[in-house]
Amino acid sequence: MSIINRITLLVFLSLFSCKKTPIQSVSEKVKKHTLNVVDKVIDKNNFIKIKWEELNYINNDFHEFTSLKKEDRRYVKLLNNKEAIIVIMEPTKYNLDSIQATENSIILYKKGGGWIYKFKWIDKKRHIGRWDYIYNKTVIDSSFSMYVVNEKYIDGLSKN
Amino acid sequence: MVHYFHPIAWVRQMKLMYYKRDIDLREKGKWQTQFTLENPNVACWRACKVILNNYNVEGGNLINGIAFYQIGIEKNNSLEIDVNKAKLAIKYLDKQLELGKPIIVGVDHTYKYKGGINNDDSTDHFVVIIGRSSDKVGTFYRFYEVGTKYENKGSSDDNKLYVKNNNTLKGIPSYSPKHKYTVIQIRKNN
Repeated sequence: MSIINRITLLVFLSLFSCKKTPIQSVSEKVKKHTLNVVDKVIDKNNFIKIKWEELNYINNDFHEFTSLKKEDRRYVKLLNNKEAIIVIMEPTKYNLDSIQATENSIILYKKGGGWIYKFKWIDKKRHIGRWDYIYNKTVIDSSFSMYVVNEKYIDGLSKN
Repeated sequence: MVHYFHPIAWVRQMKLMYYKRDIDLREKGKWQTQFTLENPNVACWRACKVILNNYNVEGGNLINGIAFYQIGIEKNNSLEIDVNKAKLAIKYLDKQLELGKPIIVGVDHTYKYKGGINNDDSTDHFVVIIGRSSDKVGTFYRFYEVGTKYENKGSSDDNKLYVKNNNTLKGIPSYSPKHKYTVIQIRKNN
């Protein structure tokens, strides 16, 4: 058998020996890890329609941003699975490609890419979390990020 | 009644028709820096709103999520300009300035700045158009720069956005020559 024939046979055999199952299961996992998981990992009601209002972090504690008028305060609000209002510079509605949940975070993927907005709990008992603005895959811009509290629980915090 | 041709009156009339009169709305105490506001690094739009408020002008907001005139969009590593919209936008600027009203505009200075922060993926910063004039380079629009804490830089004579052949406005703020602005959004005054 010539060398070319041996190589052809080798390629042929290796192609048939590949398992399809693992590839399929990976893609299924990816699918499951999008919207459906929002329901499983974190109660969807904690995110959809809830207004997450920015907090002021001073002296190692979180306070209501009383130096700003209510209408000038920054916030994040998921309107539904495809839209969110995020106030970074100004109140702006963003279209989302998807919302992904991991074990300890929720990630909003802005339509068109470019950056993501990632939520993690800071103090779950007090309903305080943080939204981080991440661009270039790993760079966090702290000015575009914010500590937040579920608006329903803001009265329990001290004013500042 | 006798009609006669008066060359000086004719030149004056032609100037009014074809040249725009200079407008300068700058006034002491009406400029605002973004750096004395809360969350200063992201306060450019809010600082522009304060300036509008100082002139008793309301406006500057998105309308149903979009700008009144979206002149340009970052795409394929460049800035795509809608020349017709840019022309209309200049007319709007002129109209507002003639009413004595400053206008908030969004500018682009860096392609996909921080991933493209605003919902048009293109606007990087906001400034306020505050006047119109011309010099040996051409017609320009004056602007208040809010991204500096120094009033002399923020309201400098050198803050000029020149009208280019494709009707875009381009310029450099006095406080930071490294920034090259192109106006890509015009916000509506109420």
